[in-house]
Amino acid sequence: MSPARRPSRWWIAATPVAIAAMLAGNGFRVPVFWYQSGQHHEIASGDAREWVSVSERTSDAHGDFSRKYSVRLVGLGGERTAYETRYDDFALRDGMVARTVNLDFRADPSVPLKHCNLTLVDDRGREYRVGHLFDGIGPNITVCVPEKTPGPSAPVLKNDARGSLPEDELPRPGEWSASPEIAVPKDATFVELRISFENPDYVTLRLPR
Amino acid sequence: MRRAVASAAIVIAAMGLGRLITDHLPTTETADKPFFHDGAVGSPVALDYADVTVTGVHVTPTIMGNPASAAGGRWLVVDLELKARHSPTSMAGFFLVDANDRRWIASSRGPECATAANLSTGVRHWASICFDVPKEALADARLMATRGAWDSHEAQFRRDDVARVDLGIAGSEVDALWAQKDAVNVKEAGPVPPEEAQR
Repeated sequence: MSPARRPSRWWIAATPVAIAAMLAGNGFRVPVFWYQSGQHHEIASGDAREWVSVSERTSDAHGDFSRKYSVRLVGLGGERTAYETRYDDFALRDGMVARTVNLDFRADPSVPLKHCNLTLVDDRGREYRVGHLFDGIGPNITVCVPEKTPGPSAPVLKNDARGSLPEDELPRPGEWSASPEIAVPKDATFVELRISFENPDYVTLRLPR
Repeated sequence: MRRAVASAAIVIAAMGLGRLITDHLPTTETADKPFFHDGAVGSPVALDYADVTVTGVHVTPTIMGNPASAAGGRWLVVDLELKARHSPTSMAGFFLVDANDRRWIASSRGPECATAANLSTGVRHWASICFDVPKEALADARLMATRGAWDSHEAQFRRDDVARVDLGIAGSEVDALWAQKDAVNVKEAGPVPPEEAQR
């Protein structure tokens, strides 16, 4: 008489493997549709009035590099109702004002720092931003850098050298101040400023409560 | 042998049950359907991310400009006031649904006609969306406004808020609207109200 066959147990081991494979197969959605599509990676933080050193891993046409700079949030000021679109000035309404964000920067003149965007976050979690490609109003390109001497752009073609400037442009100074304006409600209380060059990385500068 | 046959029968039955579920239960409805918020001309529709108000509806053969733009049928111009609620928002989905459930995408052919809007939080944004439509698309037309652009699978705004605004065009009004000859001057989209806009 042959011994009774033991019931198969292979599925007990296979089930967690199948679940892991399913999650891994669908997992690409998390980086693509969530992580990389918003500000989800804080690379540095500090309080207002203190210098914060930032080193952001990024890449250009020549490969990976670190965007290194230091920044200090001096404070917020101003409450003009005149603001700017890409082409004209216009009057803010509905209790909105243009608040100045006073920032000091230090960086090597060769570091590309154009195209930053700034987001003020208020105590209700609302976000007010300037400088992003999808912002229809307010300044862009030179939000974080001097308008006349913004420094180099990140090369998009291999033929462009890193750190090169147009012929008639002077190098950016080693230390400078920037005062871009963001359209915000006059009565809002802000808790932090975020500086970002590209998602998901951002720097948090906390405002005094 | 009997075990193997039983196992195979269970696997086939499970596959059949799966097929029955996907074929006969409204899984697509629940998994993909956007959240519609209905409204009418003149009253704001509150979406999760923005307030959408249709402030005006025009039917014209010509949109003014240099050069002026003639419609293949008629231009249905929908004036909008938009405001982002909590964070900067881009809206790229503006399309029309007619009484026969046909879709009409926004035209960029008319000068200053918008097909998308980048909204800054709390700052009102005015835009006019222009549709070149045949006569039968006018009655009971509804404007859809959402973040994702329209595509043939309507996948870009699934599980997202969509404003569905009845443009208030009754079937009895269509002949009179179609006969109108006055050109419409579409103003530049942006944070300046149309009555103050220079362009």
